[in-house]
Formats: sequence, C-alpha cells, structure tokens
Amino acid sequence: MMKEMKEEMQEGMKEEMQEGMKKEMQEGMKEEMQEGMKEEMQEGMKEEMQEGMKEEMIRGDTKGDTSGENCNKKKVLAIDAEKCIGCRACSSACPEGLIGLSEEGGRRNLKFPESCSLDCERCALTCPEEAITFVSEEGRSPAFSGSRTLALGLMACRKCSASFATERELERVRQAVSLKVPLRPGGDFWMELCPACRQESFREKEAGAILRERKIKGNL
Amino acid sequence: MPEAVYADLSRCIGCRACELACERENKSSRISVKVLSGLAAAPVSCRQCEIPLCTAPCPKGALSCENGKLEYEAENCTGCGLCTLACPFGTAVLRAGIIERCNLCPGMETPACVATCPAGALIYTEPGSLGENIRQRRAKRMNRALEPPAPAGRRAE
Repeated sequence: MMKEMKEEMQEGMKEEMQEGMKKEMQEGMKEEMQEGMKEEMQEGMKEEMQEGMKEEMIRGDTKGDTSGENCNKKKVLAIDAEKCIGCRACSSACPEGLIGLSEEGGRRNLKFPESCSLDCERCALTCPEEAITFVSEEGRSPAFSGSRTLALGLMACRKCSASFATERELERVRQAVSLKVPLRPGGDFWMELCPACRQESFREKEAGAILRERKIKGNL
Repeated sequence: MPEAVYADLSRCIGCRACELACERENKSSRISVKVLSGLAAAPVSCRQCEIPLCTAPCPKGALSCENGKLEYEAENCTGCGLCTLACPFGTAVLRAGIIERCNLCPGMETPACVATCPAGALIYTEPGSLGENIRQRRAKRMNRALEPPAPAGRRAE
C-alpha cells in the first residue's frame, strides 16, 4: 500500500512540476519530498481517504497480510495514561475507528488497540496532550504491551446531572481559561454546567427582566 | 468591541425564522430560540466575546482571536471539543468532529438570521451603539407618552 501511494504521489508531483511551476518551487518540492515524505504522504492519505474510503479499505485488506505485518514490526501505539484527558479527538480522527469509546458508571472508557495496519499516525497528530506516540516494537516498554483501556472519571452537570466531560478535560479548560482571564471565586460556576445548561441559564438570565414584566402584566 | 448579533427580547415572537435562515445558510443552525414559561422567547447565539474563552484551550490554534475578530481554521481543528467546554454560554457545538459557532455569515452584509427576523428583534451591531439604540427607543416611547393623546379612533405612528 505504501509503495503504491509513494508512486502515485511521485507521479502526481512530476506532472505538476512539468506543467510549469517555478524553479524555486521545484527545489522546494524536492527538498520536501526527501525530508518530509511522511508528512506529504499523510496529506495524500487524507485526500484519498476522503475520496475513496471504501476502495482504500478494500485494497488495504487484500494486501493486509504483508503490509500489516510490516507496520506491526515498525511501530506500536504507546499511550501515556497520565497525559490522556479523554477528549475523544483520537477516536474521531482514526479512519478505521479502532479506538473504542464507551461511557458507563460515571467513567469514560477508551480502548486503544495495540497497533494498526494503517500507516497514518493521525491519532498521535491530533492528540492535544501528545499522549499518543508510536514506538518501535523492540523499543517499547512492557507496560505498553497489549491493548490498553483507560477509564477516566466523568463530571456530572450540576443542573441536569448528565455527565458531559471528563474531570481532566475540565481541569485543563479551567487552567487555560484562568490564564486568559482571572476567574473570581464564584465566577466560574458555569464550568460545572454542561453546555446545554449553560445556554439555558444564560437564556433565563437574559429573559429574566422581560419575564417578570410580562408576569406582572398577565396578573393585572 | 466586536460586532455581534443581539436580541431585543421584547420584540422576539419566537417564530424560529432565524434558526431556519441560519440552517439554510450554514447547513446547521447556530442560533437557538426557546420559549420560557410561555411568556418570552429568547434566541441565543455566539456572543462574539471580546476576550473569547473558547480560544484558550485550543491545542492547535484552530480557534484564534486577532483584533477582536474570532478566526476558525477547520484544517487545524482536531475535534477535541475543549472549546465547547470553555464557552460560558454553551454556544460552540461540536458536530461531526468540527466546531460550529456563529461566524456572522461572512460574505453577507448582515447575518442571515438578522436579515430574516420578521419582528426586527435581532440586531447586528456593536454593543456600544446597541445601548444607544435602546436609549433612543426608550426616549421615543417617553416622548409619545408625554404627548397629548391622539383623537379617539386614530392612533399615532
């Protein structure tokens, strides 16, 4: 799969160059090709995946035996359980949906696979905490062996008591927000509400005056 | 202060035309209207904060604020949803891995919701001139109230 992709990419690049790009650009492109083939590949992957998700998957399957093994040898997923905040970005980024998500008993469970057949690293790139890394199979520590499940505590909304985010997510948000604006004690009450209830309480506050006015009128 | 869509709740009739207009323009509605105790309807959309808190936790700088204008680059968005947790008004929504919030309909003179509001309840303006609007309107009302009453059977205005 990788080889095919590379060939496609190179052909595409050549054509583009011939069509009359500037010399500077050509040099730049060459350098990019050599230095950052991976990045280029990932961009290519994205496009192709979007265009022909199914075809890609089928091709991957038919060639799965050889390429899959190669990938497994190359790298495995390593999750830093301390860093992960459980934001689900990796799960939505994974083109094969290998990162399992479930919520039960006030916990959000993320199930990471040991390795994957695709050569994309998209989950690692998308992780806001850089908790996902790809390590070579020889170099990994025994702690990372096998598939891993992380269970992160969820916060319940103070108003509707629906769990809406993990404690770590909120902690991170609180930190980031307090760097930007000093939060007065009591001024961060909204942090403990789910987004829907935040909107609702804002709506109620906005409409408070007019509600009172109309209630009085109605009674008269 | 940045411009934003403000609502005059005394005028809102809760017809939800703004929701439809937004949906038509942006594929999903970024303004929501709800009726409270059967007495008042209140639309809520992005407040276009001067110091937007939603940008604070963004890990890849997809949401940023420059010169009071909120910028969103969908390419950089990882879909982690931290901005939705940082918005005090709950107006940023994560849909299909992409953050959706009011961007004031770029390319249009007035946002679709404002242009469509049949009751004239939505105002697209700076908050400063908003106060002016309200004050002027109140002054007009006061003037009308102080004027001698119009002859019966005919109403001024």
